[in-house]
Order: sequence, then C-alpha cells, then structure tokens
Amino acid sequence: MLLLKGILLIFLKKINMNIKSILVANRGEIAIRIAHTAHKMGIKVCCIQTNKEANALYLDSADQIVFVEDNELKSIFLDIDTLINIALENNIDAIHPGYGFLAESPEFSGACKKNGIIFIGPSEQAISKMGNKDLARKIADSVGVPILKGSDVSVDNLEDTRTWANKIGYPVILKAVAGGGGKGMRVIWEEQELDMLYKLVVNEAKNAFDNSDILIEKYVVKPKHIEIQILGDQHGDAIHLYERECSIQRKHQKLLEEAPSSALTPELRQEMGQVAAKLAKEVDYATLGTVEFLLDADDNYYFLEMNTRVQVEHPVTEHITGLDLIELQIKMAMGQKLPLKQKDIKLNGWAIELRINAEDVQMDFAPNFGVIDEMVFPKHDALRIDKAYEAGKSIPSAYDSLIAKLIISGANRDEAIKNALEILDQSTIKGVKTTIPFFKSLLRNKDFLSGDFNTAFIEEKLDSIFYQEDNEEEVASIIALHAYLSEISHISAVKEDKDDDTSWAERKHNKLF
Amino acid sequence: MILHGQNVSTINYFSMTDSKKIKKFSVAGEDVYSFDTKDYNIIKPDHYIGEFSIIEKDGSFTVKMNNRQYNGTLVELKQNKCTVLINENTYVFTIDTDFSLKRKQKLKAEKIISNETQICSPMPGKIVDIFVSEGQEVTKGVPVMILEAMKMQNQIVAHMDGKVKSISVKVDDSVFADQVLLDIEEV
Repeated sequence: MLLLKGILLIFLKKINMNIKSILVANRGEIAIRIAHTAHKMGIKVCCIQTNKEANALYLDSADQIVFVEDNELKSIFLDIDTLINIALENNIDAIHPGYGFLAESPEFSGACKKNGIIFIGPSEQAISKMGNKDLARKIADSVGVPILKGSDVSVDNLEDTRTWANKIGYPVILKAVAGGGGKGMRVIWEEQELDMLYKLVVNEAKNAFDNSDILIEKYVVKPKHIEIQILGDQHGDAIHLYERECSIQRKHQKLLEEAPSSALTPELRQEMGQVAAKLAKEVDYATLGTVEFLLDADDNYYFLEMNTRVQVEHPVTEHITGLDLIELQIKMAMGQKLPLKQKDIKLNGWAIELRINAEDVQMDFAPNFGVIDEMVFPKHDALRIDKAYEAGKSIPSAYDSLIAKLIISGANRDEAIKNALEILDQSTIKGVKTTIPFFKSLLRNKDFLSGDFNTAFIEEKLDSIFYQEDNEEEVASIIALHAYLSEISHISAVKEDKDDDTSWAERKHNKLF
Repeated sequence: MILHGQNVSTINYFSMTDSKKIKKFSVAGEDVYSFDTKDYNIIKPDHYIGEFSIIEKDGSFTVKMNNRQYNGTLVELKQNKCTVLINENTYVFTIDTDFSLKRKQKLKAEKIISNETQICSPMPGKIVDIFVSEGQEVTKGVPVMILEAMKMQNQIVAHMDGKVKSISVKVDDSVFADQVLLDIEEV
C-alpha cells in the first residue's frame, strides 16, 4: 500500500508541474534576469556561489545560496551530477540552465526529468534533434525549409572533412555540431588553410562543448543573419514572436541586435515566421527557442540552425511584443497552454541591444579583465539595462566578457538609434575598457543607419572601430601633461622641505629627467 | 587645483620677457604634441592658437578648447608615462623634455640596426600549440603558435620573414599580455 502511495506521489509530482522554486544553473546577467521574473511570479530562487566569484552580483538576487568549491578543470555549471544533487537536497522544483553551459545538453535535460526535476527548457529528444546542427538541417529540409549545401553527416576527422569541403566547394564553414556563441566555427577560403583551421575548430569545440564533431557547410558570403523567436507548449502548439536582426557580428559573435529587422518585408516576415513555427511543431518543441536563418542579397533565406535555449538578445523581442519571455518559458515548463494565439502577437516599436563587453576596442577587442571602478548609465525612458556586474565588482577571466546589455527602444529605428547615441554619450565605465566606443562609431555609420549591412560589415564597412571626438588625442595629451606637471611640482615642493629623509625618499621613488 | 591657460596675447608677453623660464615638453602618443610650459603650468600647445583652459576636480579634468568642452580622467601616471581616459578611449603618452626626447630619438636610430623582432602575446591566455622550432625559417603571416583565451583559439602569426631565433614559452604555459613569445631575426 505504501509502495503504491509512493509511486502515486512521484507520478503526481511529475504531472503537477507547479514550480515554486528554481535552481539557476548559471551566473552573470542571465541569472539575475531569471531571478527577476521568478520573483515576479512568486517563485523562490536558489543560486550557486563559486570561489571564482564569491561576491558576484547575481548572488544578491538569490533567496538561497549554495556554495560549491569550483575547480580549474571543470566548472560547476557543467557538472550535471552536482547540479541535480543540489536541487534534490534542497527540494527545488525546477532548474533553469540559462544560456551556454548545459542549456543545450540533452543529458542534463534527461537527468532532470529522471530525477523528477522540471527542466526549464526543451526535452532531451528535442535538444538532441535540434541542438545538433547536422540533424537539425535534415529535419528542416524534411519540412520544406530551404537549407544550404553541406555534409550529410557530422565528421570527426580531417580527411573526411577535406573530402566534403572539396565536394561542396570552397568557401566552406566548419562548425562544431554542439557549438554556439560563435565558438568552434571557422570559414575556410581555400584548401591550404584546412589543416590548421580544422585543428583550431576541433580544439575550441572540445574545450567549450566537450564535443568535437563538426559539420561542413557552404559559406554564404556576406549574408544577413535573421533569427525568428519561437515559443511552443507541451500541447503541440507553437507560435513565432517575430525576428531579430543579428548581422552586426565580429568573428561570429554578436555585438548588436535589433528587433524587428529593416531587411524584411511584411510578407517575408510572415513567411519566415510561419516556417519557423512549423519547424517547432514538427519536433514537438515545447519551450522558448530560436530558428536562425541566413538571408542573401536576393532575399533568399536558408536555415542555419536552431538554438534550443533562451538567448542573450531576447530582451529586444520582449520590447516589441510586450511579453516577458522568461515568464512564458517558465509557464510552458509548468505544462500550461500557450496563452496567446499567433494573431494576438503584435509588433510594436523598435529595440536595439548593445552588448557592453569588457574588451579594449582600441586593441582590436582584446579582453580586458579587471575591477570595475565606476559604472554610470543615464536615467532614460528608452533604456533598459540588464547587467552582470556593478561598480566594485571584478570581472573574472573564467567566463565571458559581458558587463551589461543596454536595450534601447524607440517608436521606429531612427528614434531608437538617436536614443542610443544620447545614452552612450552619458555612459561611462572606469577600470576596464569596454565596447562603448565601438557602438559610438557604429551608430554614426551611414550604411548602418540606412540598413545597408550584412555579417561582413564590421570588417569591411566600418571606417573606424572606435569613435573619437575631434582633437581627442590632443586634449588627452593636455590632460596628461597637466597631471604630470602637477605631480612633479608637488615633488619639487616636497624636495624643498627641511625634512631630509622625506625628500630623499621622494627623490629615490620618482626618477626625473 | 585650478589652472587656466593664458590667451595668446598674454603668452607672447611672457615669452618675450621671460623666455628662459619656458620649458618645452613633448607628449608622445600616436602623434607627438609639443607644449610650452612655465613654472609647472601649460602656457600653450605649440601649434595651437586660441583659448584653452583646463580645470581639475577630484581626478576629473575638463578641457575647453575651440569652443568645445571635453571631459577626461587620469588612469595612471607612472614616472613619465601617463594614461588618460577620455570619451571611453584610453591614450598612453610618454612625456619628455626636449632634451630627453632628442636623446631618445638618437638611441632609437641606433637600435634599428639590429634585426630582431619580438612577437608578444596580445592578451593573457595559455599556449596550446607551437608550430615552429628554433632555427626554423618562417614567412610573414605563417602561424607560429596557438594562444587560448576565453575559450577561443587565437592564431599567433609571424609578422615578418626571417628565422626563429628563440622561443620563450612552451606548450601549456600561461602567459600575460605583452609577454614575449618568440624572437625572429632577419636573414
């Protein structure tokens, strides 16, 4: 009898999917973002504290903190067993994986399910199908979504790679099948580059995703990157939430995203949206996801891949649709039906997201770790800030370089850009170099303003990757000399002091001329 | 501390009567800027005509020049090397008096005679692969090492034709930014 009751309880727990607590298996801005919506829904949030960033900002958003001794070799956020144990030991209903780390791990999704924990993301099957670039291509093809020429299978050695590349015809792109975020991808223009770049891709993939299988695809030169946000429920329904324009990339990593895209006509928007939703339904996709397309110069679109997770740039979609995507994601995980029909989703206004990364643009975007001494953004009606750090916090080298996302809106694209420039002029971060000067240059560029850009834009069309005022270096030189003169005048004054010991120490410390 | 630059008419007066006390400085960044100074104050930028002023408050500087206002801060001042942050860009300068600048330029000319060039790491990271060995000939653009940083694999390439003189790191070494990785010499 007791056994039957036990089985019934487990069964009920599995179908009664009310989430009262979430373990966030992530850090940085997305952990803060998830906690924000969870709290709005009355859900308790548990975060993980590591010794890599023991006083991280995201911990302030937690109702409960679990400390884990992190080690150099493997991050806790990649440790399925420990994460499951933390959830079980603390009676937590659900795990949200955020993006990156285990967000697209079918094993993690499966392990959660097996242990009676709700995974706020796709099922193991959905991730396996769509998270693997190779399989996803095949499925897209089968439902009539246009795809690019590529290897029929994923490849794990150099010689097969060479054979496929020759068959497809250069230029080709090598992509880690489990990849994302621009990692594990390289374009190969001619055969002599293949050996070296194959090695690079495989190493990067092994390191970042623990999977070094790759696929080879025809490389479309200078496409636009347009992605469609989709949302599915566990009852077989799926809708699209319009597109995002993500062509502003450097080395396949996005820097600026917009919603909607100035490249799509209403007809193309509707067609791509419907095709994306159809694909989601085909794989029983029951959560938030993104279908990525390449758009060529003739407005032909090709399926690129599907991201089976929430994305960094989701806030721009939130702005134009007026929806909270994390809230919808949690509700879908609870088994609720989609609360909206496709015809209810209206497109309103424009949003641009700027990724403020800790990178020195003057040194070609070299990563710039350190402590943030000061971080100032203006108060502005059009500005939403999703930040990962605040003044006084240190940016660890173990993770990505995203400091904050600035999401700037407007009634239309011109207004959003105008607002963005205003906001950037009043923004300053001290202690680390950031991508702010890059955006100041980008948002003034005439091709960007007219919508005439593609993924090759940064390399080809941007005159200056960072913005300088007229005479800026000269003014800086005035400040430098002024500061220098103040310093040596102070030291001279000290030198003339009667206290010999002090002046000797000062002289020794400051070698002048 | 408040300091105002003088306008041109006053400067000329000072220059004429007191030219011995004027000390010239060179501030070298991407370009070299020259200044006249007196008693630890900037009197005027060498090539500039017009009013300018500089005000400092709590480490922040406001410079007015050409009817425009600029704000900047001092990031670091170490001996005669100064880093300034202005408009979210940083500028590093080396400050010299005329005398020491001329001496440096002479030394630089002498140094160019030796044909070595060092390849330094562009950022902190780990060396994961080395493709060359000491004594090997390389051509410009050929990859010599792979530096792993922030989970990305970065190719380090030879920036000149030559022969590898010495390799200062080995596989699995952690390196910091600007650390010397290898030396190439001309053949």
